[in-house]
Amino acid sequence: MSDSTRTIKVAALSRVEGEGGMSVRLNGSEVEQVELRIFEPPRFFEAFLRGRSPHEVPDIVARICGICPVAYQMSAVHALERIVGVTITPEIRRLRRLLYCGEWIESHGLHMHLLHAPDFLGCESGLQVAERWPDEIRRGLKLKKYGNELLEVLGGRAIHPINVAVGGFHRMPRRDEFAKLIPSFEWGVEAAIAATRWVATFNFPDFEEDYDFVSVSHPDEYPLNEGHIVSSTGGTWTADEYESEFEEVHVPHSTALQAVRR
Amino acid sequence: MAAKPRLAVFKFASCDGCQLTMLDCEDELLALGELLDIVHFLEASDRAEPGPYDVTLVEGSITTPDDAERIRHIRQQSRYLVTIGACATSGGIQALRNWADHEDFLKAVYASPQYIQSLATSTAIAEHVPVDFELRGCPIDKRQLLDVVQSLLHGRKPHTPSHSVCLDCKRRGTVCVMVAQGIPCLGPVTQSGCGALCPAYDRGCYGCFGPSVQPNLVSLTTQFHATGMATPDIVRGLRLFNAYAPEFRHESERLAGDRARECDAPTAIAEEVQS
Ligand code: SF4
Repeated sequence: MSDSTRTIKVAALSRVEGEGGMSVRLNGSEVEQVELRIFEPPRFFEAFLRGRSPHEVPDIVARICGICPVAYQMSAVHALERIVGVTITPEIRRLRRLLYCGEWIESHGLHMHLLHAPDFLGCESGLQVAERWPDEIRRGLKLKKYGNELLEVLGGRAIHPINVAVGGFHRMPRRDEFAKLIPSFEWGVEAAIAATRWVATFNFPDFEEDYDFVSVSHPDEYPLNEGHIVSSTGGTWTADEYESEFEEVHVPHSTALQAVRR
Repeated sequence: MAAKPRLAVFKFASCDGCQLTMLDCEDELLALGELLDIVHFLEASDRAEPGPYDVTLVEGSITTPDDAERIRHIRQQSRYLVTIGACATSGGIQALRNWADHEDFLKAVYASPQYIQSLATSTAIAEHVPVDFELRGCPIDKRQLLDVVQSLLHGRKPHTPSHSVCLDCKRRGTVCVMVAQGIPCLGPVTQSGCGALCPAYDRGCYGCFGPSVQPNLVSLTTQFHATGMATPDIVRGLRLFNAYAPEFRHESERLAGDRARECDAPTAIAEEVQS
């Protein structure tokens, strides 16, 4: 190691889900290596799911993450439905999408206002942002709350919904339960646009890298629940092709596996 | 004005859901920030001040040697320590390893198990350090959390109801899913807290809030058998988010005829008492 090499270590990252740290090795002002150390203790979901009944899976996998339980519940029910050959009705499909939207609204409200805005505005927390931008944070919290209310109507509760089942829902929501939400969401459409405009005023660093971005893509809608896997460098795959195209690698400094292209 | 009480939140093996419950108090969050000095809460703030803390909320279970040490340090720094959620109060879903082959679990998930530091058990915080109050649930309930925090702010001893979910169904006017539909339900032996949610959604309770006071598990599982449920299904039903809570654990072991491992951490309270 030459004299000009130094390492910046962040012991624990804040305002992220889960536990991790980071180290950056610099040579002069050049970044040589960046390591994201996830020290979140392993909980072994892949191991203890073996031998469970399919009916228990949506409840169990929710507990992988309290911030995005619906994401796990949806992947699980889709996988199990394919295995047992169940086709869901268009109504179930739309209700699932709605449930997922509730989670996105809640989660985006949380991330934008409480987790990320502080970084752009030089504050330690969302509470501190609220001292200078009270209306913006109040609006964000309200958006987040309405996302949670949608989750509650369809899922029973916001964190670890209890209503998701293989094949559909345990109980269908009633029309009047939804009707109550309409005024909130009419306000929410405008509020979401205003929140986006506020975030657009943040000072984003001018940083471009040669990334390979991978996501799900759907021809007709914003892809939440289904579609193809696509890459920004070209390439389209079905979910079945995931394992032949991607590999999950285990590195010494992280308890989270890293998914990379094969 | 007296200094605001210093609040800290710490995470162990968990899903973040119980901490998130605090941030889900959208209507109360800003007011809480006025009443309390939140000095350590990594999920919400860069502030990570050392102790002492007046109130410490602990999420998650003890599953690594480092965490078994870390909780002792946190305890020393905390005047009032509250554990939040099933992971912290009973070991959580990750306590299923307590009945399994830990090596096999490691290999099932990791290509290089030698990189992983993990105990063969997942145990409640109270198995490691004295705990002042345990708040149940997977996840905890927002109203109960606010109630506990408010009690502590006013110097009152926190209290949460310990009756069973059954009573809440009656209050809510939900027709019993077990009697009317023959759906197996843990409501008779599970502590109140969720508002009797699952039966209101036409399904049986699956025990998020852990055992209620003096639950009669033998009677309930006998009834499950009588309705045609097979023993392995009953055992799996008890082995979910509060699997290692003593009452659920003993009944599932009585039925399955197996035994879970005792706490694997060298610093656990039980071992200190023995030696
Ligand atoms: S008790 Fe349940 S909700 Fe709370 S941290 Fe553990 S898994 Fe998450």
